[in-house]
Amino acid sequence: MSLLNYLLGRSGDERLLWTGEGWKTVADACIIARQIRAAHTDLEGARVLLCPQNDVEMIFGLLAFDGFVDQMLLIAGNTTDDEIKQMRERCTVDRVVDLSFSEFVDLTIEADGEIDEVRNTKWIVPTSGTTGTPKLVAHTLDSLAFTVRRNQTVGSDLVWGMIYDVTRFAGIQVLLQAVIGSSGLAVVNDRQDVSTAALQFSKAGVNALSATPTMWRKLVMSGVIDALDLRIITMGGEPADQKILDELIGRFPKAKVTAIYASTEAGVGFSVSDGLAGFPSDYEKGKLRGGNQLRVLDGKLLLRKVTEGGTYVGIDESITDTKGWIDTGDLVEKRGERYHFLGRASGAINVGGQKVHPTEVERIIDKVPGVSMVVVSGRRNPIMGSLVEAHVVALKGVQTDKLKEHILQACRVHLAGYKVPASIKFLDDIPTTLAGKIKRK
Amino acid sequence: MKSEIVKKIVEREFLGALAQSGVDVEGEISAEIRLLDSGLDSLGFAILVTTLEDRLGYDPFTLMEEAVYPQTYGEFMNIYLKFSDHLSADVTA
Repeated sequence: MSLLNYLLGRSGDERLLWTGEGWKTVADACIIARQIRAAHTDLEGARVLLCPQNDVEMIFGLLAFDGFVDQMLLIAGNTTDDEIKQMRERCTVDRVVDLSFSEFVDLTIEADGEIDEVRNTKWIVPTSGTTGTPKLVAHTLDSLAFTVRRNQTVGSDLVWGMIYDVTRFAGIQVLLQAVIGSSGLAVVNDRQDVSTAALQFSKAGVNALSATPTMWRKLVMSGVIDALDLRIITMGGEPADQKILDELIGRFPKAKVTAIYASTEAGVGFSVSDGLAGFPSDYEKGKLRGGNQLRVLDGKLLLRKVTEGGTYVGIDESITDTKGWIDTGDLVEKRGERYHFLGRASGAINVGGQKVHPTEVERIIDKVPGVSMVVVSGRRNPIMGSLVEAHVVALKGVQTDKLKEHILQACRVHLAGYKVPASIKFLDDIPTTLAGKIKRK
Repeated sequence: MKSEIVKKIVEREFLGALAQSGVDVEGEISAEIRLLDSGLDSLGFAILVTTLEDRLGYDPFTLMEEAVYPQTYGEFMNIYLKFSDHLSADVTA
């Protein structure tokens, strides 16, 4: 079943999409999606790249093209041309689709009537990338929507807010939860500006929101979170700490607060709704709700999915081992009856849900004249979860004040803001505990 | 007084962080100003907390039993002042 068919199965007068200019109903959305198909008959069965200007365009593109094209590569608005080029080397694209659909609005098309479809469209989703180029993961609507809650009575009272990029795995989950779960969805122009977004969400009547713990902290600090009457609070993308859980449970005593463990590769693994950080150690025994399994091996979290998950595109690498287990790369530690997240086995640093690989920062700092050795690691932070920290050994006779400025300058030129070290410490030598990752000149 | 030292350092580092983000502040910072409207984004704010931990020798957000997420500059300052006993002995304003 395609996304459009799910939509056609809903009552046409239900509110579906709030865009700041008011609501579009399910019937409106069906018409727009069919108009897009009618204007793009040549794309039937093609492999397309969707590169939208905004979330609304992307959402209509997904509604129109799932079940219609063979595969769609979803590109976030902030992806660089270089990154797109690298992705296209690994994933064949027949056509790049311009999603500005305003030109179709004159076509008269009926909203009703199920569409016969045979295509099981592949959704190609870039991972949040640790070492430069993101990997591409192919999913189908079935693998993406497996954990969507489908209780129509509950769903019809909910309006979800879209604060994730809709081209990313977490954003797709929110979209599918709204479309398939019989709910409404509110989309804002500028997701980065949380204060304005929260006010718009409040106008739209948003009562269900999924965000990273860092976004939640930002929403709390903005002071406008109280404008929302939240009943469903979910978080993912980085470990939820006890403080933000307590804060949200205290503010919204009637809301169901759930931490979701998911990744682009594995899809949704499991969820935790008991208000505590980490997850119960008895999750290891037997099956999880939904049928997935997890186990901890040498401190690493492994998952086995009950359904088919994603597969890598264009690289000869399997997401699962021969027995179906996925190495999530997340390190966990058992304390009492609970497992807690320690970080990534690769050493990747999770800065508010965005991953930074230490080597990409070390490579830049290593080239700065005056640097003898550098090791980059994560430093815990109450706002963003972690920040990037660099420990540097300067060459003899080099003034560290100036060197620090030069390092920061180099990093600001070559790296995204969240990858630039938040603190740089000078040492006489790199401690042996960190020696695994040091680079020597 | 430890609290005087803490106040001065927090003020200076906050202004420094704003300047880093290209925001010039004339005169005193109002206690009512909302942190996320001040010109700092959440990353800038997170970095400020890290810088202050290095300068003062403590991070009040980690020391707090219950989470407090400050909305205004005044609330932010009070969180640091509340834990000013933790100021490292060798720190001067």
